[in-house]
Amino acid sequence: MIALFGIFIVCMIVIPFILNLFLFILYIVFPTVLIMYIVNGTMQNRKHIKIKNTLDILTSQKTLDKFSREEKKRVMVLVDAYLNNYKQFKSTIKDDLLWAGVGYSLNSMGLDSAMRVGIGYTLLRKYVKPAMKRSLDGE
Amino acid sequence: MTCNVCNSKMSINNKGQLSCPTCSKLKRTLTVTGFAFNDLKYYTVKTALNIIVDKLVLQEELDELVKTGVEVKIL
Repeated sequence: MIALFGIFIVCMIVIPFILNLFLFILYIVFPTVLIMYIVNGTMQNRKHIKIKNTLDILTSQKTLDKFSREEKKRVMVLVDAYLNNYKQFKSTIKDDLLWAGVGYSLNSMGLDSAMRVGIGYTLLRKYVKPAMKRSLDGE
Repeated sequence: MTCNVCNSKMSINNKGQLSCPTCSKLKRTLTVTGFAFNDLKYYTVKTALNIIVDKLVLQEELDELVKTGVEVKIL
């Protein structure tokens, strides 16, 4: 009787459970992981292509002719970091973006002031700009 | 005013420029390796003898250095 009950349990619960698990992995988990892998890879690739294109434009003769010596040096440091030290390149890019946006680098400002300026800028954009627009429109 | 390289007193030469009497007599040499990215050409300095330069040097800066009498070796 106990052996019969054991066979019943195996046939009705264990085997369907294992089969379902297998099917779940085959049809849900595997395709999801595959799609995520492909999408992530494509995004990374697109990011790298974008960086390469930007550097290509920056280092073309047409653009270099317009740059001053200091600006050329800045591009040179960026290119050297891109070719030899990608970690430094990323930090330089961040610094340059901050410099372009605020006018100061993170090192020269300090983290506190940078955060204050950043938050202040966001608040200005969010509250002051619409108010100015409204007042200009004459509402 | 003292020289950045040898700390000796600077003097004014016949062209009216500040120059170091010790370093101007020494042989200045620069060993560099070249890199190119698209149209930008630059050099990284490996060794610099009796001269102070940045770690990375532009092509035009190197040309100016050669004109001033610096011996440049490209690896």
